[in-house]
Amino acid sequence: MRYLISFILLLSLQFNSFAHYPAPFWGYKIGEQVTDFTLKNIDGKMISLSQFTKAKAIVLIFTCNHCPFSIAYEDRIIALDKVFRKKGVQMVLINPNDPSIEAAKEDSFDEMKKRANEKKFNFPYLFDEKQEVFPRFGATKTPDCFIVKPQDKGFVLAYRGAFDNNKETAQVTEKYLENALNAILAGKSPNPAETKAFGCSIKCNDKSKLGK
Amino acid sequence: MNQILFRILLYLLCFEILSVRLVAQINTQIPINDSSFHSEVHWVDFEHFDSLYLNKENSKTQVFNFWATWCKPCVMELPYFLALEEKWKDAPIEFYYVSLDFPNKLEKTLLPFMIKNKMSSKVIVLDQKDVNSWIHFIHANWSGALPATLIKTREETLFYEDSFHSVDELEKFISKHLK
Repeated sequence: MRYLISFILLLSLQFNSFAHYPAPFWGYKIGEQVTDFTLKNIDGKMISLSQFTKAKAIVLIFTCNHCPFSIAYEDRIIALDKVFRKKGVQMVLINPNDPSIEAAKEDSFDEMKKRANEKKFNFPYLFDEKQEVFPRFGATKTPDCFIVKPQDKGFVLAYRGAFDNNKETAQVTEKYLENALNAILAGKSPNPAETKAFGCSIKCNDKSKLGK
Repeated sequence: MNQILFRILLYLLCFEILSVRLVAQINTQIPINDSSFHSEVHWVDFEHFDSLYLNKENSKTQVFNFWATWCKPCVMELPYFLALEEKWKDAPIEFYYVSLDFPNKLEKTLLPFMIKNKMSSKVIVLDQKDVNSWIHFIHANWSGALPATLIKTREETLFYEDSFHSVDELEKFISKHLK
């Protein structure tokens, strides 16, 4: 009987842990119109969100070179792009950090080029040099993922949050970003549409841009 | 019938032993034994963190600094916390350093870091499995960025998702809420 009780207790604990996903508290909300932006890519060309009106969805990931969490997700981002580009999904990475800050010195434009070359990024890696784009999304850390979806006019936010639920690939049990993409491609709304993940704080001297 | 019951019990028993063993691997103290430095690190999942530290019956003020050796701003502000902890060692206040270091790199990164800095304070490694199931229990306003600091007094809970830049700044911030 004791084992039965502890078994039930254990089960209820596990259910309890899937309770709910709290909404992040800053930036675009799900379903809200996302304004266009133009940023410099590592090849020197300017890239605008509005170039991707024909995509089924655009994955925007705020990420950087130095953060171990960002590095841990590089290969997963490349793998996701390989699968979903055929389905009409555009991958875009954006470095939001100010490289003049000591902790982010590895995130300079030159270092971005080097990393993209090493990892053979097959998609834009943009530099949010004026730090004006990440605050609109309410990104606070790297990596921080967003999916925007083209609509009749412009784009709307469809998902924000974590790539998946474990930094260790082998221990992942929830592929939030991939599930959200599959839902969007099937004409459904992602569920959950908002999650939270750990990461390195975005390096920015103007704290108001981080919602403070 | 009895045989079936016996089998069910046996199954449950195995389950129990197995789960206890799995828990024991993670929810244990990891000793640090260097030639001149001895300490330990408590590696916990969220349930244990919650019951043993976060929501422990406590008449003292608790300061939880969430950090990691890979987080540069965390490492920069850490000395301010350690200095204040030393200064206030006789005050009714407890400091906890909750590390989000990666469990498979504890021996390579966290333990050597603690030895190098002679860090004998209470270090807890919080397992990051399924962050979304528990992050809001630490504080609803935590977006998931490091560093972050949670201060619990008897009257209030305070959350700060940013770095401190001096002992003075940290001391003022905490003192303001200790009435």
